[in-house]
Amino acid sequence: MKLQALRGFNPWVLIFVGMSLFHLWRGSLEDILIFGIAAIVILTQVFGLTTVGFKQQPKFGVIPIWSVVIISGLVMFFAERHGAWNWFVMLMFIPIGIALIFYRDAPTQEVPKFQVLRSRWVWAIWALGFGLTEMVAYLGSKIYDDLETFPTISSLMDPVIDTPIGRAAFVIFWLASGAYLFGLRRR
Amino acid sequence: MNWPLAIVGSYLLFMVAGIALAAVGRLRPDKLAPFGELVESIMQHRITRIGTFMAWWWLGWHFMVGATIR
Repeated sequence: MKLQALRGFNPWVLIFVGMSLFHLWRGSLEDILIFGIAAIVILTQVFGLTTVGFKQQPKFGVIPIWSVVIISGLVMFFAERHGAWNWFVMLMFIPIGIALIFYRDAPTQEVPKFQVLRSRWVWAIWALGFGLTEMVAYLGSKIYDDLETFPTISSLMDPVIDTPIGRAAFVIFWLASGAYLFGLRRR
Repeated sequence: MNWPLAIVGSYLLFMVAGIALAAVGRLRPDKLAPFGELVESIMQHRITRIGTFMAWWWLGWHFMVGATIR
Protein backbone atom coordinates (compact mmCIF):
# COMPACT_ATOMS: atom_id res chain seq x y z
CA MET A 1 0.00 0.00 0.00
CA LYS A 2 2.81 2.41 0.98
CA LEU A 3 4.75 1.70 -2.19
CA GLN A 4 1.64 2.13 -4.30
CA ALA A 5 0.93 5.48 -2.64
CA LEU A 6 4.45 6.68 -3.41
CA ARG A 7 4.26 5.46 -6.98
CA GLY A 8 0.99 7.28 -7.45
CA PHE A 9 2.34 10.54 -6.05
CA ASN A 10 1.45 13.44 -8.21
CA PRO A 11 1.68 17.20 -7.49
CA TRP A 12 -2.08 17.49 -8.03
CA VAL A 13 -2.53 15.68 -4.69
CA LEU A 14 -0.72 18.47 -2.85
CA ILE A 15 -2.48 21.17 -4.86
CA PHE A 16 -5.99 19.90 -4.17
CA VAL A 17 -5.48 18.93 -0.54
CA GLY A 18 -3.74 22.31 0.01
CA MET A 19 -6.51 24.20 -1.76
CA SER A 20 -9.18 22.40 0.28
CA LEU A 21 -7.45 23.47 3.50
CA PHE A 22 -6.98 27.00 2.16
CA HIS A 23 -10.71 27.33 1.36
CA LEU A 24 -11.57 25.88 4.76
CA TRP A 25 -9.58 28.73 6.29
CA ARG A 26 -11.11 31.19 3.82
CA GLY A 27 -14.61 30.06 4.69
CA SER A 28 -15.94 29.52 1.17
CA LEU A 29 -18.33 26.58 1.46
CA GLU A 30 -18.72 25.89 -2.27
CA ASP A 31 -14.94 25.96 -2.83
CA ILE A 32 -14.42 23.64 0.16
CA LEU A 33 -16.89 21.22 -1.44
CA ILE A 34 -15.37 21.45 -4.94
CA PHE A 35 -11.74 21.12 -3.87
CA GLY A 36 -12.56 18.67 -1.07
CA ILE A 37 -14.42 16.31 -3.43
CA ALA A 38 -11.63 16.65 -6.02
CA ALA A 39 -9.02 15.90 -3.34
CA ILE A 40 -10.95 12.80 -2.24
CA VAL A 41 -11.30 11.56 -5.85
CA ILE A 42 -7.57 12.14 -6.43
CA LEU A 43 -6.69 10.35 -3.18
CA THR A 44 -8.74 7.33 -4.28
CA GLN A 45 -6.40 7.13 -7.28
CA VAL A 46 -3.30 7.44 -5.12
CA PHE A 47 -4.51 4.57 -2.95
CA GLY A 48 -5.08 2.28 -5.88
CA LEU A 49 -8.67 2.66 -7.06
CA THR A 50 -7.40 2.99 -10.59
CA THR A 51 -9.25 0.15 -12.31
CA VAL A 52 -12.67 1.78 -11.94
CA GLY A 53 -13.86 3.54 -15.07
CA PHE A 54 -13.79 3.07 -18.81
CA LYS A 55 -11.34 0.53 -20.21
CA GLN A 56 -10.34 2.92 -22.97
CA GLN A 57 -10.69 6.58 -23.70
CA PRO A 58 -14.23 7.06 -25.04
CA LYS A 59 -14.33 8.57 -28.52
CA PHE A 60 -16.67 11.42 -29.33
CA GLY A 61 -17.25 12.93 -32.74
CA VAL A 62 -16.44 16.51 -33.62
CA ILE A 63 -20.12 17.42 -34.12
CA PRO A 64 -21.32 16.42 -30.60
CA ILE A 65 -18.31 18.13 -29.03
CA TRP A 66 -18.80 21.38 -30.91
CA SER A 67 -22.58 21.25 -30.33
CA VAL A 68 -21.99 21.12 -26.56
CA VAL A 69 -19.37 23.89 -26.80
CA ILE A 70 -21.56 26.21 -28.90
CA ILE A 71 -24.80 25.64 -26.94
CA SER A 72 -23.02 26.09 -23.58
CA GLY A 73 -21.25 29.19 -24.89
CA LEU A 74 -24.52 30.79 -25.98
CA VAL A 75 -26.20 29.98 -22.66
CA MET A 76 -23.25 31.29 -20.65
CA PHE A 77 -23.11 34.48 -22.68
CA PHE A 78 -26.82 35.31 -22.72
CA ALA A 79 -27.94 33.98 -19.33
CA GLU A 80 -27.63 36.08 -16.20
CA ARG A 81 -24.22 35.74 -14.59
CA HIS A 82 -24.38 33.77 -11.28
CA GLY A 83 -27.88 32.67 -12.35
CA ALA A 84 -29.61 29.30 -12.59
CA TRP A 85 -28.75 28.65 -16.26
CA ASN A 86 -25.04 29.00 -15.67
CA TRP A 87 -25.39 26.76 -12.66
CA PHE A 88 -27.13 24.17 -14.85
CA VAL A 89 -24.45 24.37 -17.59
CA MET A 90 -21.65 23.94 -15.07
CA LEU A 91 -23.33 20.89 -13.50
CA MET A 92 -23.88 19.43 -16.98
CA PHE A 93 -20.12 19.47 -17.52
CA ILE A 94 -19.51 17.08 -14.61
CA PRO A 95 -20.91 13.91 -16.30
CA ILE A 96 -19.37 15.06 -19.59
CA GLY A 97 -16.01 15.43 -17.83
CA ILE A 98 -16.32 11.98 -16.23
CA ALA A 99 -17.02 10.52 -19.69
CA LEU A 100 -13.99 12.28 -21.16
CA ILE A 101 -11.35 11.64 -18.50
CA PHE A 102 -12.34 8.64 -16.41
CA TYR A 103 -10.66 5.92 -18.40
CA ARG A 104 -7.85 3.64 -17.25
CA ASP A 105 -4.24 4.59 -17.84
CA ALA A 106 -2.33 2.57 -20.42
CA PRO A 107 -0.37 -0.26 -18.73
CA THR A 108 2.84 0.99 -20.33
CA GLN A 109 3.45 4.67 -20.75
CA GLU A 110 5.83 6.56 -22.95
CA VAL A 111 8.97 7.78 -21.17
CA PRO A 112 8.96 11.57 -21.56
CA LYS A 113 11.72 13.15 -23.65
CA PHE A 114 14.17 15.57 -22.07
CA GLN A 115 12.38 18.51 -23.75
CA VAL A 116 9.06 17.38 -22.27
CA LEU A 117 10.57 17.08 -18.78
CA ARG A 118 12.08 20.54 -19.11
CA SER A 119 8.74 21.87 -20.34
CA ARG A 120 7.00 20.33 -17.31
CA TRP A 121 9.36 22.11 -14.93
CA VAL A 122 9.25 25.43 -16.74
CA TRP A 123 5.44 25.49 -16.85
CA ALA A 124 5.22 24.27 -13.24
CA ILE A 125 7.47 27.16 -12.13
CA TRP A 126 5.36 29.55 -14.22
CA ALA A 127 2.15 28.32 -12.57
CA LEU A 128 3.74 28.47 -9.11
CA GLY A 129 4.87 32.06 -9.72
CA PHE A 130 1.42 33.05 -10.93
CA GLY A 131 -0.16 31.36 -7.91
CA LEU A 132 2.24 33.04 -5.47
CA THR A 133 1.46 36.48 -6.93
CA GLU A 134 -2.25 35.80 -6.48
CA MET A 135 -1.59 34.59 -2.92
CA VAL A 136 0.32 37.78 -2.03
CA ALA A 137 -2.58 39.85 -3.43
CA TYR A 138 -5.16 37.76 -1.58
CA LEU A 139 -3.35 37.86 1.77
CA GLY A 140 -2.66 41.61 1.40
CA SER A 141 -6.32 42.29 0.60
CA LYS A 142 -7.37 40.29 3.67
CA ILE A 143 -4.82 41.77 6.08
CA TYR A 144 -5.40 45.39 5.02
CA ASP A 145 -9.01 44.90 3.89
CA ASP A 146 -8.09 46.70 0.67
CA LEU A 147 -8.70 45.09 -2.72
CA GLU A 148 -7.68 48.22 -4.61
CA THR A 149 -4.15 48.16 -3.25
CA PHE A 150 -3.96 44.36 -3.41
CA PRO A 151 -6.06 43.36 -6.44
CA THR A 152 -6.70 39.65 -6.82
CA ILE A 153 -7.37 38.18 -10.27
CA SER A 154 -11.04 37.73 -9.34
CA SER A 155 -11.42 41.37 -8.33
CA LEU A 156 -9.82 42.48 -11.61
CA MET A 157 -11.79 40.05 -13.77
CA ASP A 158 -15.22 40.52 -12.16
CA PRO A 159 -15.99 43.94 -13.72
CA VAL A 160 -14.55 42.78 -17.05
CA ILE A 161 -16.76 39.68 -17.16
CA ASP A 162 -19.77 41.85 -16.35
CA THR A 163 -19.36 43.54 -19.75
CA PRO A 164 -20.63 41.68 -22.87
CA ILE A 165 -17.21 41.73 -24.59
CA GLY A 166 -15.40 40.60 -21.45
CA ARG A 167 -17.87 37.81 -20.85
CA ALA A 168 -17.68 36.67 -24.49
CA ALA A 169 -13.86 36.62 -24.29
CA PHE A 170 -13.90 34.62 -21.05
CA VAL A 171 -16.52 32.12 -22.26
CA ILE A 172 -14.68 31.57 -25.57
CA PHE A 173 -11.31 31.15 -23.81
CA TRP A 174 -12.72 28.84 -21.15
CA LEU A 175 -14.68 26.59 -23.52
CA ALA A 176 -11.93 26.51 -26.15
CA SER A 177 -9.34 25.52 -23.53
CA GLY A 178 -11.68 22.78 -22.26
CA ALA A 179 -12.31 21.45 -25.77
CA TYR A 180 -8.55 21.50 -26.40
CA LEU A 181 -7.58 19.79 -23.16
CA PHE A 182 -10.32 17.17 -22.86
CA GLY A 183 -12.30 16.94 -26.06
CA LEU A 184 -10.55 17.51 -29.33
CA ARG A 185 -6.90 17.18 -28.57
CA ARG A 186 -6.56 13.44 -27.86
CA ARG A 187 -9.25 11.99 -30.11
CA MET B 1 6.07 50.18 -2.52
CA ASN B 2 3.45 50.63 -5.20
CA TRP B 3 1.53 47.41 -4.55
CA PRO B 4 -1.15 47.73 -7.26
CA LEU B 5 1.52 48.33 -9.91
CA ALA B 6 3.67 45.46 -8.62
CA ILE B 7 0.76 43.02 -8.47
CA VAL B 8 -0.94 43.93 -11.76
CA GLY B 9 2.51 44.18 -13.38
CA SER B 10 3.31 40.66 -12.15
CA TYR B 11 0.05 39.28 -13.57
CA LEU B 12 0.80 40.89 -16.94
CA LEU B 13 4.41 39.68 -16.80
CA PHE B 14 3.26 36.09 -16.22
CA MET B 15 0.76 36.34 -19.09
CA VAL B 16 3.46 37.60 -21.45
CA ALA B 17 5.86 34.93 -20.15
CA GLY B 18 3.22 32.26 -20.83
CA ILE B 19 2.78 33.44 -24.41
CA ALA B 20 6.57 33.58 -24.82
CA LEU B 21 6.98 30.03 -23.45
CA ALA B 22 4.30 28.74 -25.82
CA ALA B 23 6.08 30.49 -28.69
CA VAL B 24 9.50 29.05 -27.70
CA GLY B 25 7.95 25.57 -27.64
CA ARG B 26 6.66 26.05 -31.17
CA LEU B 27 9.77 27.69 -32.58
CA ARG B 28 12.45 25.66 -30.74
CA PRO B 29 10.97 22.21 -29.94
CA ASP B 30 14.54 20.93 -29.58
CA LYS B 31 14.89 23.12 -26.48
CA LEU B 32 11.40 23.09 -24.98
CA ALA B 33 8.58 20.71 -25.86
CA PRO B 34 5.57 22.47 -27.42
CA PHE B 35 2.63 22.98 -25.09
CA GLY B 36 0.56 20.41 -26.99
CA GLU B 37 3.23 17.74 -26.52
CA LEU B 38 3.41 18.57 -22.83
CA VAL B 39 -0.38 18.21 -22.50
CA GLU B 40 -0.24 14.92 -24.40
CA SER B 41 2.42 13.62 -22.01
CA ILE B 42 0.85 14.64 -18.71
CA MET B 43 -2.66 13.55 -19.71
CA GLN B 44 -1.49 9.94 -19.79
CA HIS B 45 -2.03 9.92 -16.02
CA ARG B 46 -5.57 9.81 -14.69
CA ILE B 47 -4.70 11.87 -11.59
CA THR B 48 -3.49 14.65 -13.86
CA ARG B 49 -6.61 14.38 -16.01
CA ILE B 50 -8.79 14.67 -12.91
CA GLY B 51 -6.71 17.55 -11.51
CA THR B 52 -6.67 19.46 -14.78
CA PHE B 53 -10.39 18.95 -15.33
CA MET B 54 -11.29 20.07 -11.82
CA ALA B 55 -9.06 23.16 -12.09
CA TRP B 56 -10.66 24.04 -15.45
CA TRP B 57 -14.18 23.37 -14.18
CA TRP B 58 -13.62 25.43 -11.02
CA LEU B 59 -12.44 28.38 -13.13
CA GLY B 60 -15.76 28.37 -15.01
CA TRP B 61 -17.74 27.91 -11.81
CA HIS B 62 -15.84 30.62 -9.95
CA PHE B 63 -16.37 33.30 -12.59
CA MET B 64 -19.81 32.37 -13.97
CA VAL B 65 -21.67 30.94 -10.98
CA GLY B 66 -19.99 31.49 -7.61
CA ALA B 67 -19.78 34.89 -6.00
CA THR B 68 -16.32 36.18 -5.09
CA ILE B 69 -15.82 36.24 -1.33
CA ARG B 70 -14.18 39.54 -0.37
